[in-house]
Amino acid sequence: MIAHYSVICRREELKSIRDRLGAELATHGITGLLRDQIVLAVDEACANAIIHGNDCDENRTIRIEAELREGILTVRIYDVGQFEFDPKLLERDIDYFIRNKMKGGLGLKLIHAIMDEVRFDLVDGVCVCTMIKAVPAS
Amino acid sequence: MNTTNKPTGLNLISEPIVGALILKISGELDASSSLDFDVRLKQLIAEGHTHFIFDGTELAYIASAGLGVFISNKDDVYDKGGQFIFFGLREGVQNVFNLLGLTDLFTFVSSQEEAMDLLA
Repeated sequence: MIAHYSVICRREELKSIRDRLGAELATHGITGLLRDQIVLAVDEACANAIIHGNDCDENRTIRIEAELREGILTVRIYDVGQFEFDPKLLERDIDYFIRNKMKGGLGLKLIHAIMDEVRFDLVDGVCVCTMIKAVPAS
Repeated sequence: MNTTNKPTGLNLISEPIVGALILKISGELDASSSLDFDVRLKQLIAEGHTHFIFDGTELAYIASAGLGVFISNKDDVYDKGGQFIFFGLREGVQNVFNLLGLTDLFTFVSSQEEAMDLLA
């Protein structure tokens, strides 16, 4: 396990999530653009959980776990909110977002562009976002 | 020159020049700071600015919420004949535009001089 912590559901926590994860990835040899992209994907997933899943309710927390095993990075974000999205959004090209002046949905497209595998599961009432990325051996 | 420094970690410096407004964005443009940035950009558009030159040399990070600010305000500027021109974006920031295929949507150049030449 390279990361395991909980944060309060407020937007201002996103920077600390990025800084902390970025530092932890670096200590495991994940640096440069690859690290930046992984941090971005996790930031987007956490923003979705905090803002859309939990309405920035500061009485709630989300939990972030990351593990690196045999060149496979797995990040899981747990939240008790009700984050739902239309999977059809992922099939829309970027022009759809531009035409409709959409601010939402772009984060999910970024997550899918960066990570090798993305899943959303509901486990005992907890939404678990799992993101998997193969990383070069350090 | 006008400076707006918000506690969200984003600093904006606007500098009017002939025919355009240079907006230097310093810090991180994420789901938190993009709220203030959206308000500020809308104010500037409402004031009548149409040609924006964004100085990205000190922009350390951008998330989709930040991209969304540019996308959602684009028509209000371009419909008036204006444009968004970016220069000096760092590799990591430019990469986020690239990942979503936004490189044809806006104009990207390497320097402020090049941006100003486009408007001359």
